Amino acid sequence: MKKLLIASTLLISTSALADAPGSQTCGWGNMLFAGQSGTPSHVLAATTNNSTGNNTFGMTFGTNGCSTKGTLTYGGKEMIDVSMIMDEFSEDVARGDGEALTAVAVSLGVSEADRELFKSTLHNNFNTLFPSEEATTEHVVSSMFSLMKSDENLAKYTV
Amino acid sequence: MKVKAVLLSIAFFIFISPNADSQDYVNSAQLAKTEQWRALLHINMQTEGSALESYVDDANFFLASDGNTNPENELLATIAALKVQDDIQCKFPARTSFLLENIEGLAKEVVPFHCQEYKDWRKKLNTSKVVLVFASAQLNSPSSMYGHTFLRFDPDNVEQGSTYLSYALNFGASVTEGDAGFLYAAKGLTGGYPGHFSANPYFEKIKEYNRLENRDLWEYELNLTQTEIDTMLAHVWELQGINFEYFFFDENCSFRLLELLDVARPGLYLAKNFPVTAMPLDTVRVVQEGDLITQTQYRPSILTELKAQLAMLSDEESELALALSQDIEVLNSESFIKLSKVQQQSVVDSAYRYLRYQNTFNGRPKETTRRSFLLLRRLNENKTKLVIPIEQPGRPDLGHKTAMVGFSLGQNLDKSFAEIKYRGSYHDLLDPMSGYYTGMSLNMVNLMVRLYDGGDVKLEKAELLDIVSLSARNDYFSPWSWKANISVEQQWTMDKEVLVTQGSGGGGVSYQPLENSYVFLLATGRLEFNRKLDTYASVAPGLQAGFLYYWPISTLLVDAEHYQFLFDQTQRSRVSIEQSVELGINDSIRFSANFHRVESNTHENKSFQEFKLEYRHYF
Repeated sequence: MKKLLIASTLLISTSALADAPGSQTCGWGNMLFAGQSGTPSHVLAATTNNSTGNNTFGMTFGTNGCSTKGTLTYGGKEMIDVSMIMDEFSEDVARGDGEALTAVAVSLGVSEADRELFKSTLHNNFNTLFPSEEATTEHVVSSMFSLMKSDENLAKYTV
Repeated sequence: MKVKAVLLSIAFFIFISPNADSQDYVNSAQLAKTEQWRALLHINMQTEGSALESYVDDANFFLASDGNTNPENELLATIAALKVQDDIQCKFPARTSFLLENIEGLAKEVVPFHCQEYKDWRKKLNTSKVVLVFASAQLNSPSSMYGHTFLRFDPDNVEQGSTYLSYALNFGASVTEGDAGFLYAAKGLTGGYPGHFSANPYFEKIKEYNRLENRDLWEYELNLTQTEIDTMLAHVWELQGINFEYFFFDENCSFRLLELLDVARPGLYLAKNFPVTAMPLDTVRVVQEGDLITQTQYRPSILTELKAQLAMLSDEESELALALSQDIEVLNSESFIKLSKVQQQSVVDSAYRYLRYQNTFNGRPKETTRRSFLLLRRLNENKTKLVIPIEQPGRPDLGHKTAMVGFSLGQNLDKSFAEIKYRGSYHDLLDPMSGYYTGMSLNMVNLMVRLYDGGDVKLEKAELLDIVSLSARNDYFSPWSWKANISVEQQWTMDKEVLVTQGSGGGGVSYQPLENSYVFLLATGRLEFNRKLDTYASVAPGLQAGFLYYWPISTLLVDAEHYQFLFDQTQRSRVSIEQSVELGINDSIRFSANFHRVESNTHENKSFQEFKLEYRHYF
């Protein structure tokens, strides 16, 4: 039990140093439609409501072997781990709106006034962000930052 | 009231007692009896003396060696520890504030300690709203009908549409890897796994339930005040890494959440409503009845959205969408090109959603991935915005209650009877529909006793389990339908009714020829223990077919069943018509007519009828 507590302490304290993309532990190489692991049928599993979550209470992820918490940094800027929501995000960008897109905007600190601009900028550049089905999260995020940097109203959110 | 009394007596003792130690002692005896303290230790308020025991199954949670059974010793040990050990404040922030508030003078002896980790966590959560989330049934999986609940903590600045980033707190069993199938289920039922709280970002829960399991989510915003939220979170922190026993029926996800609400708002005492079982749906109802819910949001699953989308298509569009999901060249076909922009967009959107739904668990096959991407790009190029209207169905917590008593009058084998029925849970095919899914039935513990004209009293049926799951097949989906039943029941054998024990099941297909209807055909198997049959344990294969139709407040079921025992060739056939009418949310009546025929090589054949008119009350 003690061990567990110590481990949880470590997890929370190191989480202040969010993983940078491309680091050893974290490949932002996730591609679109990577599929899901897990049991499709929960007929029996329903008796336990087993949770995939982490029993240390920092906002941690244990499922992608990538980050130790919900946010990553990109160029020092903290944001949601897009690799976790690649499918939802790509769909929202294609459609021009949606919760995944909003979540990315909020995590980058894009104010409500600039939210529409942010969304339409990404929406209108779908082909840049997602040139093919082999586009990696890293490509998507770096293209998104480039797009934002070249927009006078969105540039401020990249630093 | 109780709290006030305690506070008064505390003040009184402080005033009259010159001895600080004995004063502490008397205070603690009474404080240890308060709802707040018991709630903080997860000790049931209704137990006393030697029956006192915490639900927490972890020595790490207690400071006194007998803290799990003696709340007073635990209180004294906590006070003692607070005076000498700084980190106790960080480990038990809720206990600390409770004691500091309620024991005068204690604040002078406890040096405030800056709990960095805890502070960081609270700052990160920045919670201003707590939401109770109910994951409803999974299609074709009646065992999930009981649902699941967890809490969501929304930050101050949560704007509609960004709850993805909120913090979800879930209580579940920690499953040993490698355990599978029935072992898994059995251990979950019997407490074989420890339970603990775990945290995720809400989008992971959305993914888990909405997308992977295709379960609709209901989000109930609670009216907890900031102080109540503070208390709750302080206590949640105390439960980090702490083990509970986990039992599917009572000490489950929902029960633990009620305990948290009881900590947040002392006096609610919601957990007391569930001495025996805590069905997630019923716990939501208790929270609703406690006037804790301010707002409700419905979050349809991926499958619900897909079906709503498909329902908007014309037959021709539907065929095109299906073809397009298999072959991207359909985009260049004449029949696609001649469609309007809006129609094209809904065909492409349907094909895309369907393809993704189909491949949820298939990894990244090259062809499918390519096609998905091209469809997505096409969605982006066609700037037509689609709105899929999804009507919010009846709230599950406002549907009929899950226990039931029924009273009926009827005639069987030409004799009149009065029948009384009790059902522990939950919902059958003909019960009132609001808040429930069509085609799904799950009943546990169902007892029927009959008083026949002339004074005979008979146990008609004692059913342990009855499940029916009808999932309609069409061009897009091909699920199986199935049923299972275990009961002790009366069966006409040779020359009289015999009480037999049986287990039966079936699998097959169902379709929706009309909206709000099902037709189904199941191949069935039955194992019956009947002392009047040639062999005591007999097996009978058979067939069942039926038609189910839903009107707004009425449901009709017509079905026929036939099976034949393998050894002694006894055959039973039944044709039934049943119709229910809803009188109110918690009341209904139903009429049934059953026509039976039993044929046998060795005995005379027998035909008989049963008619019944029943009143049902749900409570």
